[in-house]
Amino acid sequence: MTGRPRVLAVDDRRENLLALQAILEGLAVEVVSVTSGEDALKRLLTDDYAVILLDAHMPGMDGFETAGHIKQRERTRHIPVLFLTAVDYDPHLAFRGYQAGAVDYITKPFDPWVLRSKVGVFVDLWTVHARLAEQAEECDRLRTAIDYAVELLEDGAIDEARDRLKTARD
Amino acid sequence: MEEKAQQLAQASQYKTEFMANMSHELRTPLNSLLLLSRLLAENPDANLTPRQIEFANTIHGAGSDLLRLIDDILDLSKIEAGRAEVDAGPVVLAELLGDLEQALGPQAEEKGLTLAVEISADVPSTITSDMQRLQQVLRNLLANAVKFTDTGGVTLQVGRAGGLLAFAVRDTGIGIPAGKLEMIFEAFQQADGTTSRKYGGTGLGLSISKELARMLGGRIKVTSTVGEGSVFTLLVPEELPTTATAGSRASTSVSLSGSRSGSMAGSLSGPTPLRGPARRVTPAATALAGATVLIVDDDVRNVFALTSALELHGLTVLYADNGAAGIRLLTEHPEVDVVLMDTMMPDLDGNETTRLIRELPGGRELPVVFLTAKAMPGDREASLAAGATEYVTKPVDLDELLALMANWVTPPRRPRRVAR
Repeated sequence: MTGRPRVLAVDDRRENLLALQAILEGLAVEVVSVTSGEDALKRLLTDDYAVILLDAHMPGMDGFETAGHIKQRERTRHIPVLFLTAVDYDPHLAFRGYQAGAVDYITKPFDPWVLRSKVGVFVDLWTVHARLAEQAEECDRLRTAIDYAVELLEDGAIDEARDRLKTARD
Repeated sequence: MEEKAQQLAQASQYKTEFMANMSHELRTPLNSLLLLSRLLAENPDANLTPRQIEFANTIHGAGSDLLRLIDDILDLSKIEAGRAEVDAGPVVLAELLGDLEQALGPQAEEKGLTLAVEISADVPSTITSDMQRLQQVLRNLLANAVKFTDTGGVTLQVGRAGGLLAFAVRDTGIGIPAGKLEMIFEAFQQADGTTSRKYGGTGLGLSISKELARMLGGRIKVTSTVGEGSVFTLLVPEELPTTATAGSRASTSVSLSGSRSGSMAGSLSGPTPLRGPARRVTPAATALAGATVLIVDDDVRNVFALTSALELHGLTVLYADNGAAGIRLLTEHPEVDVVLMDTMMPDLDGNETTRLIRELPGGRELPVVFLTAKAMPGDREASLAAGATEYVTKPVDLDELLALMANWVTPPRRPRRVAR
């Protein structure tokens, strides 16, 4: 697996980002903080993320628009998005959030431990997925090696076949 | 007269909106305050003195009180403006009372009080009302009862009274003088100015409860004896007509994302369906599968959409939001087959960046396709002079762009790599 799972925290207020970082401290994740929807998209163009914490209300590109972009891209649309909002719970906005593809819509101030557990769940899921993908890749690699070795064996090249299988195993 | 009334209604409306906005503005800074003070009080690094932990707890407690006050003010202003709604549905009493017991039990226990719920046999098991509102009122009455009682206990009795359902909250607390019984339902009023100092609270709870009771088609009745205790009784109909609302809900103004498309200067014409196999696979696209493209553009909206489309066609996309980062990426990734370049960028613009690319080892032959929204006479020539391979004005049709890229990428791809 390549490094620790990344969590993308998006909020136009730095103190909120600080709070998020403090909440997630102790989880085996790398928290990447950005202060706008635009910057969030830029990050998503370069790196993969396990979960996105998205402030709904930001100047410029707001959370809903950001989520819309994220959900339209094949490579990012599976990343769970948790909306965080300081506005009084409004079913219309919550609905809009879920429509934009959110897995959760949390109103501030929220319980830090609840958020932490939720993020933890998605990070675990991501880790399992990553491991699965890794295993699938290894499966593919081994199968190719076996196919190749079988071909070599049919030609009688036993030593070559053995070498081929050994390298595949290591 | 009518004009005056209208002005008054409008002023009240402004007030409500102001309250709603203020409440948001107040909650936002409170959010980090609450979170950080709580985390501090948890003392995860075990490096705070008990006194420091106490301070942090005090900050958190005060912040929580402030938050509750803000919520109450918002609630009250909503109700006063007729924007609160009643959502009538079946309410299972056992469930309602169980929830209340669970919520208030710990508070009562903490003060050494008993908390009992008694239900008369003639009470139906299910009524029609607004579960949430009903719970809000009863929770408020019970919390008050617990708050103003130091010894003894609090009882919630549910029975029938004159065709209505009666929830009587009985406490053995300090009681309220007869002259003050009306006043306590006014906003920000408690029986005595000193009350709040001893017991806390803002005095908003009862006025909210009174309004909510009215919305539920009922009322709150109170009897009290100083020094012996009080009985607050919520009377509500067993069947609340489902149409009973206190005013209509103000429609939320929702501006859907994408409304800023004016500034998008999208390179894709129109809203392109980027997901799914809807797009036909052109020969150009298949030729490009596996190629690596570097996009240098600071308009991320545009880039994100374009990237999704290119990725669907099997291309690997690298991204830089400025010229310098683009050049750095290019040196780190010699596998880049083609560059899509925006002309207008802060600092290093497209032309300048391209000039620098041309000076890189292997950068002389690299196809650099300009995508630009600005098409002033002379721009094209300037870009071509700077080393642009192609010059395309936005909005660009994706298929056209793919065909164009395939032209430049496919045939010389492998040999060029070797040459580099």
